[in-house]
Amino acid sequence: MVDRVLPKEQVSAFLDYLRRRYRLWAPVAQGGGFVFAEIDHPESIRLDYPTTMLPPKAAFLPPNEILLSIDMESLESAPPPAEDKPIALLGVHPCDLHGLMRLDMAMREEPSDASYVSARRGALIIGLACVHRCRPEAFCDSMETFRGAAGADLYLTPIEDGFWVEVRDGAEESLADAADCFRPPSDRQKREKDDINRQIDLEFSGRRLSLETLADDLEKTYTSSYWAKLADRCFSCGACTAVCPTCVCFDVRDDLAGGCKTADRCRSWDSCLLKDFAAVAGNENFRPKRHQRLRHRMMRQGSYLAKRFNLPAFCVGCGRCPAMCLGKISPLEAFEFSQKGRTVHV
Amino acid sequence: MKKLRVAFYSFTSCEGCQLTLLECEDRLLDVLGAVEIVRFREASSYEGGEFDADADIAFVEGSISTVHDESAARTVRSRSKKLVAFGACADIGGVNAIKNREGVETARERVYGPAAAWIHSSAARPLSAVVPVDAALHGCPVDKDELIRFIFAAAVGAKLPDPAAPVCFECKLRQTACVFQKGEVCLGPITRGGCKAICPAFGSGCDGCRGLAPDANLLLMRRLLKERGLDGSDLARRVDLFNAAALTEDQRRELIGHA
Amino acid sequence: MHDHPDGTLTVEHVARVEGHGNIVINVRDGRVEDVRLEIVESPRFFESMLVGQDAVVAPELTSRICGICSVGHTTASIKAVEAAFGMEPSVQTLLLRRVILDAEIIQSHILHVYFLVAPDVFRSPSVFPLAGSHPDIVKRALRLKKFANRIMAVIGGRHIHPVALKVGGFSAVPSDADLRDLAREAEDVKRDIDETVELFRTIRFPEFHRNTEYLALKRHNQYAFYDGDITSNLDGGTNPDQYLQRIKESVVAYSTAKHARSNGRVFAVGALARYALNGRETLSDRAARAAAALELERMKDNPFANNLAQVVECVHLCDDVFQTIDTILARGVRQERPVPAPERAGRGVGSVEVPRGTLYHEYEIDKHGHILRANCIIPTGQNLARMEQDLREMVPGILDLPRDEIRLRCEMLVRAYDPCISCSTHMLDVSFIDINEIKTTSSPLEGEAGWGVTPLPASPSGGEDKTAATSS
Repeated sequence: MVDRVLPKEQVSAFLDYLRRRYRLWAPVAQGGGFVFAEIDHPESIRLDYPTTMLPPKAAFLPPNEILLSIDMESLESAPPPAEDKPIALLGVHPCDLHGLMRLDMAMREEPSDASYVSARRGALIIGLACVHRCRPEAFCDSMETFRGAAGADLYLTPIEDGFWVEVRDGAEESLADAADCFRPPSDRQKREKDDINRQIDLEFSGRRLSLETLADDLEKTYTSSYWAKLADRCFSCGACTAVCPTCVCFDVRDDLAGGCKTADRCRSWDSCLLKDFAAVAGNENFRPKRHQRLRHRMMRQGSYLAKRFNLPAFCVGCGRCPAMCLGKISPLEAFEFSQKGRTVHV
Repeated sequence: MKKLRVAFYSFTSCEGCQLTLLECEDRLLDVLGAVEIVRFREASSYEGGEFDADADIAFVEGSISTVHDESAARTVRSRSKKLVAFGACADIGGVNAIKNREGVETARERVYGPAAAWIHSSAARPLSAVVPVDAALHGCPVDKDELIRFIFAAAVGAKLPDPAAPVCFECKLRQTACVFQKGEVCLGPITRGGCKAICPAFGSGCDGCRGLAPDANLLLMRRLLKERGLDGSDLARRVDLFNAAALTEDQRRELIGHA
Repeated sequence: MHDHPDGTLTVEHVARVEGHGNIVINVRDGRVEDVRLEIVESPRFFESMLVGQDAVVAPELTSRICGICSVGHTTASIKAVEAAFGMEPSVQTLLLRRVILDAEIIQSHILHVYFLVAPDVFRSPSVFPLAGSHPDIVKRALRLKKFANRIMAVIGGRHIHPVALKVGGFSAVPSDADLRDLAREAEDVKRDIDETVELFRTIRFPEFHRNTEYLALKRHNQYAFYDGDITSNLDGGTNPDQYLQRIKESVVAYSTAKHARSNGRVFAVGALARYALNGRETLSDRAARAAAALELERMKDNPFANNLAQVVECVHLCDDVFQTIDTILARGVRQERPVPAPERAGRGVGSVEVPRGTLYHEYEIDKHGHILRANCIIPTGQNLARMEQDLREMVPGILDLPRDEIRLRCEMLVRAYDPCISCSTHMLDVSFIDINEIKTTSSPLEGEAGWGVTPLPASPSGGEDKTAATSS
């Protein structure tokens, strides 16, 4: 890890560099909130954003994408033409950095997802520290995902002069052409950065879970009547999985876009919350009831994938799903129930 | 491969769903290349009677609300291998069914007085109330992309798609700010999607034109709407805009109560 | 179509019109005894369904009167509610409404002249075979429709049953970038419109001239669509609020459709009427040139020329669309919310020129903002008497032509009016059932699952049994 400072006056030059070398994605204002979007006009970038509607996973795993186009006469298929430049994600908050790492684990696990790997290749991830909690529903403190330097190529902490930049080993060569934008840090700047880190620790000091035992505790609740009661507050709408940094399930469908001359094999986001998600050929449905599907998601986030990938949890506590959920369901309340044995509302 | 014979019929309707096919612009030519349209009265002259054609797939728009509608629907059923309820009026009754709640007699009397007793019209019914229906395209109007996809799937013998996720899911996919979070109300959580959540995207809460989503949580919706000040007869009016004929009595009681 | 031995020439369910209608001509000993335009569309009782609704929901509901003219109905409905509540929309709202209304009229006219009328010229049953024999023409039509639909999608969400048009304004306003994208298409669209004029210059419609009253909204110095006073070529105009004083609907003894009269006279509305009343002076330069090229002035009293007037209107509207978009952009697009509607009683009339003529919506609203009473008079309903009269006047002169030619000429006449029959049967008054066409094969309907179905009465004369309508 190498430390640098990106001065305020150099930010514009750095953005120009990014836009030349990469397809730059960053947060912009939209519809009363913020979203990650490909940037045409750098003035629209809003690094002061609290959080976004959809997490940055959409850059590498879009809600809809064409995997293959098939010529219906010759039956030859080809993937869409490769993009000329890799993606740079700018301003990713720690929860989302952890989310991207977990997304990588899920999608690269053999057999790896070719389309994701291709989109991810050569991508530059620039994290941005959170000094304040973005919204009351966030529980990144309990999930211990409020610091994210490990997941980023560059990790920015805002300081008075601009940004403190932690550069991951190996990332420095790829930034050689932008080296002019960076400065060595001064002692004063280092003290300021350490101060800010202490503030962050204080701000995110709440711990409502014991993460080491969460995966086991959660599994023990499998037959509890808690899930049916929780499901009374659930519309089975799938909003939670859509906004989740670590949810990846998708559906594949052949779409006859070109008048029966070309078929596109399309992938689009799916959701284990939806009624027919677990329906298979022969019309058997493994999770026909709402509470089964809701429980499944919580188990996946807090237990199944935690064990599979040797993590305390798969959920990163970003707070998007409880904020979006019309029933105000939060994984935190389900996790807490498993550890305290009583219902706690966020 | 022989082209699929496709027919379009309309009963009590605004013909907006038929028009949707004509509004497919460039893809209309692709459709014409893929199927043979044997009946489409709005756009094409024909020989023989209007309902006098054999079809592999018949798209039927509009509710059944007269004796004529009903008998023609039966004719179409007998002459078509597959019958598709085309749009909200045929699928769930649509706006035509608003008058069902008060009764057609009341509607007639209100507009024409007691002398109108000879005017023949029944309650507006979905197509499935009079004939077996094989598939449905939902919405008021149907979605262009969904229609094209459906026709091509039928043309190659693939499974006919029928999206079922609630509108909320599609809203999130296109990053539309939630209508509830803007202080308004929306029937999206209990409404079948497939429309790409177009109404919320244009600032208007969902009014349920595609019918109930499977497994809709009606009790939760009622609670949520009540919290936002929508209940009783106001709620009934909103739901009945498109779903007056679409809910069972039990569903109505769960969602609206006794209004 | 079939010929009866007694000389009745019937065209059942005229094709290539919106909605269901039959033409019946009774000929005896070489003379025309009767001509009837029978409407068989099923009634939907919209006026009744509006009663009790929130006034602000009326536009969404009345949009469903018709697919082709949804924007027209939505606009008239919004205007009626705003008039009842005394609401003033913003300048930007009025400009956006103008663009989307323009676009719907373009879309409807293009659909009509290319898809519904042109096949007659090319002796084709529909536009579909023309895709093979005249691909350029069909592609042009599709391009123009696509552009008009894009405007409606950008401004209103979609054409059929628009989403963003609300009482008080727009629930979503397009961005500056969206409008600039539309403006970029000006050159291509204008070229396609010019080629449309060229195409229609080569088409000879039947020469059938008759005198008639024309009604249309008119504004000083502007070819009126969104606003205006009811104007006649035969007498002084009327304030649109007083539309019922002028336009009276009534049952005619021999006819089954309710007919409208203007101060007692049969009249016509629509593109030709608008042209005749607004005149060349208010058309854009390009449109005025198109009108001259199509000899519209000479053809003003020929109902077939309504098709030509529609083409001329497309030229004008195309210019108006791009000019208005430029105005909106020059003012700077504002992301405005709709003006909130007050909760109070009121009565209002919304009148607007839609593709087929003048449309009126009138609502009476109670103090809670709910509709007490609603009335809609739609253009096609106003034209029915004129259409029938035209058939009555035209047929004797063409009786010596082969039957197929007579049939085609009658259908073309009906089509020239671009009737929107779904609209005209939003209320019951223009519906009836021809008992000879009903094939009842099923089991009795009464008692089925609680649906109250009234069976038809037995036919008294053994011939056609028509149920006439009464006026409201």
